[in-house]
Amino acid sequence: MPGNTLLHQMPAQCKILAAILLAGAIVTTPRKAFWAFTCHLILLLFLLLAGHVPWSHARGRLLIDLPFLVAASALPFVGTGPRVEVLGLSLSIEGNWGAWNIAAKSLLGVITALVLTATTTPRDLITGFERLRVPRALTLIAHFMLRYLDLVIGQFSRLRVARISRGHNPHFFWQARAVAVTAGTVFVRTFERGERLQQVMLSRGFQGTFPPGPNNKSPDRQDWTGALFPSFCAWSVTIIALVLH
Amino acid sequence: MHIPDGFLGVPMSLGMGLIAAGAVSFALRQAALEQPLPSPEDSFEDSFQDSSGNVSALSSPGFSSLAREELSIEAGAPVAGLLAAFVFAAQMLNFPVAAGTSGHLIGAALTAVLIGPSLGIVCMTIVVVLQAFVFADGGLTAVGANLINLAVIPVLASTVLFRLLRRVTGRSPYGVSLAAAITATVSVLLAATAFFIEFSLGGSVSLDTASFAQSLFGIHLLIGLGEGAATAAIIGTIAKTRPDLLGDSLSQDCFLEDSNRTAPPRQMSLEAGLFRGEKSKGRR
Repeated sequence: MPGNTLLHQMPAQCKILAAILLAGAIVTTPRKAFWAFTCHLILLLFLLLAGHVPWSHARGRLLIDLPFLVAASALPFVGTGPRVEVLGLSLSIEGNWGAWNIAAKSLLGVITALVLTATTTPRDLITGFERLRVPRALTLIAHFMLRYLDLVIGQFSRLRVARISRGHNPHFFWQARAVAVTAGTVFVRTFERGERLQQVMLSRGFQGTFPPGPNNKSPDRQDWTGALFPSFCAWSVTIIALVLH
Repeated sequence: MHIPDGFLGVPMSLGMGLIAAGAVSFALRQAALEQPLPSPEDSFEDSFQDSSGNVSALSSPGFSSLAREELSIEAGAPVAGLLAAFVFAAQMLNFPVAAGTSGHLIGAALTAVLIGPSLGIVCMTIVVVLQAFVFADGGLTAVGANLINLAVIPVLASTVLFRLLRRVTGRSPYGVSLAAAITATVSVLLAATAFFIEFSLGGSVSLDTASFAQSLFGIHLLIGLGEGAATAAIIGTIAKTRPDLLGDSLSQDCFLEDSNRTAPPRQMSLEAGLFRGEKSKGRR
């Protein structure tokens, strides 16, 4: 998402590291420390506000967590150990805790990733990985992937429209063949595009580096402190919770 | 399929992260050594000398002094990047499984068959990591486990299994498709098995193993069958339109027959044709 908040201006490598640390703090929190989860949630909501993340955007991304919440809701029924009667249902105590644990942590984890991606463009993200010394081959391939992803998705969707306008009705298993043939065609086209691109890039002197994006100032001490401060808060909460429980 | 935060305990997440980092860096090194992509220097110098008779400016010392091992994977990045984009886009493509429900492709078996194990792992790695960081699909702390489950294990197992099955099913387009279908189904079940082991050893909750396994493998058998059908159809299409992309998976006679029949798509433009001269020999 475009924006000009403090979070947007931060160098991407600081944000990546901070997000990983924050997610680590969330996962390490003992599951019975409700207050600690509340603290994490308040922190993340504050970050969402600070990054001006629109609710419409956040809602779409949060839906990714839905299947896991459904899966977690099955745990009380298949959990082991002593059971408890709730509204006539026999629920496992261990399963209840497990379900709560997974639901809370996966939701907070998704919000963490959401804050990162909503305030960082994919290009800056890859530059950030580059600065964090991820092997250059990986970041290069990722660069090309993101550049051409829209194009490949566009081809898929055009072919989908073409199929549907020729009487394809993608609701039944026996019609999956047409979808798969489409995918095969797109694969061949994508591969050929890759070959052409490779020759073109090399003939223009490509030596395996891209110019960095516009947001590429190297981080100073202030950037690191600013980026790592939320993670520091989250870890303090987690450590206190670990000591108390 | 992607594990979110909170499913696995901290030690398991960390351990899987370390194993995944080791496996991916090994795959990167292998991909650079193997040179599965057409070597750009060869094709350039050959095609320029062939077409114009004299050595062009591109093969001046400045160009060819680039270290070969440095060129191999980084100059191949466009092709690898587009393959990763294809896997990513194909994962967004929903296959109808039954009325109302749908599954999507994982693509590990597909990449293993088409571009080999090491580059396949590299492409799947990028897809899985970017899904976690850009689309919040899969937890940031579970990236290691997701890499093991979706990139490393299925791609490696698919490679081995496909090479074995290919002998049984034969190297006709149908035989290769059948082998790919079985490979893809098994690869999904193996990914589910890996998750089962991780969750049993280091999950955040202890479960009744039997019923957990039953529901997990039941769902993934369906997903795997869908993956198998999709992979087979994709491989079948490629075997008919660009058999050279499947390399030695197809027998030579059906390669010749099919490539004669579908010659037009190979000559897409004059420029592309110029560089194609010697390349198909070295290409997988």
